[in-house]
Amino acid sequence: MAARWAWGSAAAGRGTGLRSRFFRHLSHYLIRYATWIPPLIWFNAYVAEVTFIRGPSMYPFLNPHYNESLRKDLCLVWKLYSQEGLRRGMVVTFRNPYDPNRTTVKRIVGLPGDVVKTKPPYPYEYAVVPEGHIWVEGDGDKSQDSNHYGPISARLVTGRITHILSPWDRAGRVRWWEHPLRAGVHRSAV
Amino acid sequence: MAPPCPNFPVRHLSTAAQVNEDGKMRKTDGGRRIDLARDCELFGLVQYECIVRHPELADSPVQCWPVQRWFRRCQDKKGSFTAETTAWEGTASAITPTESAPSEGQGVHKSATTLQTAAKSSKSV
Amino acid sequence: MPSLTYNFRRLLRPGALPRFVKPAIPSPKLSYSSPFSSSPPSSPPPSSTKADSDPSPNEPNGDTKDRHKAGSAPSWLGHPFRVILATLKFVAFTHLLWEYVISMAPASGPSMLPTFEVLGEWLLVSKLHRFGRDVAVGDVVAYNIPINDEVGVKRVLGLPGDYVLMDTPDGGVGGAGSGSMIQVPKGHCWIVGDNLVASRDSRYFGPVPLALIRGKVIATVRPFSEFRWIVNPLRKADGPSDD
Repeated sequence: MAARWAWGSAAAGRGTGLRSRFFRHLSHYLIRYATWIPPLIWFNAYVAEVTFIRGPSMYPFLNPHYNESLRKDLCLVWKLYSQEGLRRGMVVTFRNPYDPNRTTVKRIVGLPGDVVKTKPPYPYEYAVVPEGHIWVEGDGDKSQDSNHYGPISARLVTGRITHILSPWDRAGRVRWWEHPLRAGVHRSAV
Repeated sequence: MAPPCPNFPVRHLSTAAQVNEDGKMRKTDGGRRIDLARDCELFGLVQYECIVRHPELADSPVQCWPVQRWFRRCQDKKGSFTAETTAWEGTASAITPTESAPSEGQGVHKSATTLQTAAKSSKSV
Repeated sequence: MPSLTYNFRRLLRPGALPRFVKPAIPSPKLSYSSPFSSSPPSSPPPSSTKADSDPSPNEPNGDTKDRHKAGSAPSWLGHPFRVILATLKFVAFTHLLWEYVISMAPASGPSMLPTFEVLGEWLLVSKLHRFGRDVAVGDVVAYNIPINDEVGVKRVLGLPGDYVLMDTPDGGVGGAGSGSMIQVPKGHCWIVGDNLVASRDSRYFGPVPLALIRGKVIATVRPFSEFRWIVNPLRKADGPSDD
């Protein structure tokens, strides 16, 4: 700020030319609007974000036309307190355990204590979901999920998908509680 | 806990070190096999086993015994990787039939004995 | 709070609100509601230079000047609503700095013992290394413990593709050839506390996803007595030396 004063008064000292006024206005607009960038980033990182879903792993729930068009679903991701109160059936976003820079969308299938009957790539037939972990799977067949990388820590969860925004015919709230629970999961009490 | 990954006994380390995290063979210059003893630099790091003598006191004396750990840093075409050789140094697979190996192997054995009588270092909080 | 009540009274005056709202965007004095505006009062008052050098007549600076004649409200304070906004912006900015650049937190527990004491250590954590960016074997990291909701501090002994002992080396004692090893899977790391007998780490819960790494511990501070950089202790050795 002090630097800006110095700049401003120096500009004023050179006279009230067009250039000085231009710079003064420029810096004013820069500062006025640039200061809104941190709150926006903060909101996107910790409260809510609107994002496109890529890939077929949640077919047919999300991106049902992935092989017919390039259209992607637009979703609202709610991030506040997203690691608390996780339930089976919720659609969550989390940092991919194989690549921390990638965010993945899957459905929660098992909670801590559950015994899950696994699907092919997993080396064992049954898996116990450990304390603090969840078992996630995609709705579709083409999904890299817990059957590849095992149960994931609930602390990788960054948000949950609460609304579909973009194709108008499917827009609305995500009723995750109406989704049938996956067969082959011996559920603990939670 | 996360991904299911197989464990292997230390004597298989030389073989396991040929494969990268994607399950593919590591590529090297000339395509030769990575030899941990010959191709990789040795690094050391000390960890400890510490006992707080009087946990009920705020400034209790703490006694620590060092635990030496060894690592070898190797190069492949993708970059470098590290293999912990604490338990591997001095085993039969570490002694390769190359000319430099026997002396190194002896050094390893001697170090194992010195570590047995690891000097006690105490430290007060 | 004379200035605030003054502004509130101005707000309540009939016809004051439109004047307040309309010039809100073009008036340069408003830029001082930025989060950086918490300048000490001793520094030159910005509005005076502004008001003197500002030639544009269509800006309603009359109010500001009047207020300065009244002598109570500094111009950067402005509308009370704006003060709240500026505070919010400032808090968001600092929180982002804290989460993405650098932070400091107290640490306790015996798991890193000779490196960090049991009590009273404050750790300076570089968040630029979050997600394990530029972290090397031997660095100390702060990470989200995968099985509960706490934060731990441990030493990294393996990165993706590295090979580590799954258990404690037997103090180097007759350990040759014993113990099983694993290759750290991609996207994960292997972390072990310095005090091997009192640490719950990868030996207990397995490899930790790099996405759970919050940052690298770069220094430790004991308030008012000690500041110490944390250096990577991994050293090149000629051979397992024997003296």
